[in-house]
Amino acid sequence: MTKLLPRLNAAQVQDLINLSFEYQINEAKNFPSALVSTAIIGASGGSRVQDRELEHLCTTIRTIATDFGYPDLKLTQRQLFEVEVAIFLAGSDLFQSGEGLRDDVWAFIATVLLPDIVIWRHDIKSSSTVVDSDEKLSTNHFKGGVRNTFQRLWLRAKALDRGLNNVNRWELLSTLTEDALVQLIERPSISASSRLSVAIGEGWLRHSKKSESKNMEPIMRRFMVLIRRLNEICLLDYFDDHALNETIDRLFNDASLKN
Amino acid sequence: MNSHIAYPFLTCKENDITSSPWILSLNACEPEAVEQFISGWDYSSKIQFKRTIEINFPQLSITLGIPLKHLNLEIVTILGTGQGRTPRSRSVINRYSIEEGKATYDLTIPCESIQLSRRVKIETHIVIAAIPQNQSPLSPTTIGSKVWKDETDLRLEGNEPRFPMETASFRTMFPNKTYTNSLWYLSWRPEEWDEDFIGSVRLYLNSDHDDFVKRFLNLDLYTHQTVMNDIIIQILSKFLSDTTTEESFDKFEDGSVGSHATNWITSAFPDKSYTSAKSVFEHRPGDFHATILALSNFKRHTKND
Repeated sequence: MTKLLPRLNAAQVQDLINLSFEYQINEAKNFPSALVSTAIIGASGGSRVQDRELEHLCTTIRTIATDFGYPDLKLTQRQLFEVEVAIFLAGSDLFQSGEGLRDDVWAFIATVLLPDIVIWRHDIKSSSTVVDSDEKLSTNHFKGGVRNTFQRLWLRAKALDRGLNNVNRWELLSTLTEDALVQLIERPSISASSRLSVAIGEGWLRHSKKSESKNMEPIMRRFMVLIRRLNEICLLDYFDDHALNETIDRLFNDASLKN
Repeated sequence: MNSHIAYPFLTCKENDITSSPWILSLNACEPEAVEQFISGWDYSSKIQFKRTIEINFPQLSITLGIPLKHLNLEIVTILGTGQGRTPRSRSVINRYSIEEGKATYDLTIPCESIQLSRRVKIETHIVIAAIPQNQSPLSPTTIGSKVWKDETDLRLEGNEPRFPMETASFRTMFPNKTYTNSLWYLSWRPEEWDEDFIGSVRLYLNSDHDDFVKRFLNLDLYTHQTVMNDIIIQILSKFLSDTTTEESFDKFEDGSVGSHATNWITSAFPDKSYTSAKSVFEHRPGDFHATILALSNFKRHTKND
């Protein structure tokens, strides 16, 4: 049965951050806070998530963070931390339904359940920095969307999962650079299809091995422009595996030639 | 086809293809044409879309500049879901080969509601399925080239209020309680009148009593009336006994528990006043309970509305 998760809309995120963020950070560590028990959730069609399940989510992510220095040390191995969290989120029962695609669900997790981890991960100095108009990116880490601290990791894992039976199931997730991941995940016209995302990830891997000396960042950016353009006139989802891989390799080569 | 995209090859013209609107079948109800919003949907809904596409194959052959015997096309349906300008998740659902002698194609999309979120976007494409051996210089020649496309974008769930409830085994969820064998249980916190109703009130139906749950889910009138009566009585009894609520009457925020209590009172009692409802509650309990029972009759509301 679907686990119905608590939700927080963008206005509520802003309210919490503006009005009582310091308080909220402390509350988050004393699970469950009043905000958890009174949160809005889907009216029907599933079973309200149990407090212990949310507590397990928080405990696991804080435990992973502790291995990387939370709360006292600055995060230095960001990619390793994020890969571990992404793999955990991808395997969690909580996000196997359409609830995982909801921005307001991830906003709740970042703002109410784990704001301390968001602040630690992004090295946000104080609550005033969070709401500073010049620091819009920081607020985006709490709101739902592709820049939410946890939602982006879940989306990455979902898009680049090679499958349960693959011995190197998470190689793409742990090998692609931050820039490559952002280029892919922030383009839902491509990343919404996990088959296409995995194929692009494999292509990126092949091309980066082939051209070791080259900087993959501009190549990936040009590649994404080319593949999005092609996707408008050709249905890439229709290509068989061979044609898809061949096309991706050709586009990486084209993107590379212009480097 | 998208008018803002300049395709580098010939694509279908308006008269080459005729498509019906998508017809929606929700929870085995009578199929109906889909609107912009699918009401009554939740993760447990059974949902299926159908449509018919008619293809004038000889005409299409001329439009695309590919001789009939070299024209290989397929219809592909894609389902996308998740919020944003573009769905966050999409996958191919079905492929149909287009045959020369066949003009009409019935397309079906069965949906796993549990995987849907906020919207359903259905794309129908007609694509080149094999490289043509003989064609005009402007004909599409790559497998997968889109020669026709249409999209239907539907919202799910929306802002329409639904009563928060779920089905669960009380033997598992509430073992060794005085109400383990009850038919239903209303979870709510009295005196928290400002809390959001959807978030703080929840009706649990006991799946250990299969017959009861079936009747409830099949919208059996008396079953619904009895359950709703209990819910309203529980909440109004506390509301009218609380010394703080009279002052806030009519001032509760929309969607709060207090605003629901207020609406029930103004709907049930003729002069719509707190004082009159409280007086009936305290001095004429028989009248009070029967009034609420009458209020809980959905059929009455439907007729009056």
